[in-house]
Amino acid sequence: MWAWREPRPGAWAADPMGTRGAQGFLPGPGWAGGRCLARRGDPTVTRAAGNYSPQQPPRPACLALGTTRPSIPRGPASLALGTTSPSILRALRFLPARPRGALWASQSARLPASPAPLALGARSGPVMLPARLLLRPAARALRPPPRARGYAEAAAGPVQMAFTFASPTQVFYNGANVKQVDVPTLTGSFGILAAHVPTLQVLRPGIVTVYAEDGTASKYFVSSGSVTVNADSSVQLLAEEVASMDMLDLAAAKSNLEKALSELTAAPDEVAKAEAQIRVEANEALVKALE
Amino acid sequence: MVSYWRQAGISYIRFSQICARAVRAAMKPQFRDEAERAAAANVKIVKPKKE
Repeated sequence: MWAWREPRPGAWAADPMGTRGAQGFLPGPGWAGGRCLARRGDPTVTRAAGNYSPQQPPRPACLALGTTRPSIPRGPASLALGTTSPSILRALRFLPARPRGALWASQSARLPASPAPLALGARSGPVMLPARLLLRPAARALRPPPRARGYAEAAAGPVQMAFTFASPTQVFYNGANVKQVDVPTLTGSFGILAAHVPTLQVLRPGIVTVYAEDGTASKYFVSSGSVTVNADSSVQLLAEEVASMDMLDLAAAKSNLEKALSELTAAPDEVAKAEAQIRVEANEALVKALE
Repeated sequence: MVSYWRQAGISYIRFSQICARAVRAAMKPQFRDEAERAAAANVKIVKPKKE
């Protein structure tokens, strides 16, 4: 609840409906966690202790809801339960009266013949009924909307993969319809077919094999990048450096591998050792791809 | 679990750069020049002079 703040001068006069609340700003003081503590037509507005200044007049309407309704005559049961709804009163007529505090007794307006509330406990304000009791039967019949397809369910109808494969300088496939793509990722190599489970993976140096609709396979060596499989079966494979197999030189790869191995043994610290290890693994993948 | 380069403090961006350099170094010479040119940094940093 908010601390008491003096409302702007003229706030009451400018606000005959009482929509602004005792503090002079919306929402009114009957809000706790976004829920109105006062019910419609309540002759009083509840306040947490310390939140109500005796100088301000009690408003005749529910401040939080900002509406005025003709006051409904209240019997002792409706005052005890804090509601005038006939269905709820019928359901709860056997409950004993809730104990109320001194604040509620002083602030709430009651019919002349109604009994005084029990002076047990310090509870002030109307009874907070469980929300399920207040739901109208029609509202209870509302069901949540049907969920979208879960990953474990089969895809509806034939799906096609829209495959996009590009490097920073060149586009190899753009929304193409291919049968399968094999990708090497940091967590392992796997093949992607249409209707694959959506996933995000990161590539490591290795061969990407694209199987076209007619079954022909094209191989590319990628250095690193990412692969995205979306729920609509579109696959985006974005690589940092792509080389087709005839652009690579096996002898150069082998000599680079040996250089990297010697760098690894001569590495001074952790970072240099890790970098040399990365180079070793990249060249190992190159050699393995070209042999 | 965590990759060795991540444990050593190297980011994936750096890992990607090192792998790309290794692949470029293993290319045949005629393709290597094009790749090197395309991969050169195209960011120019100009510091404003304070007067």
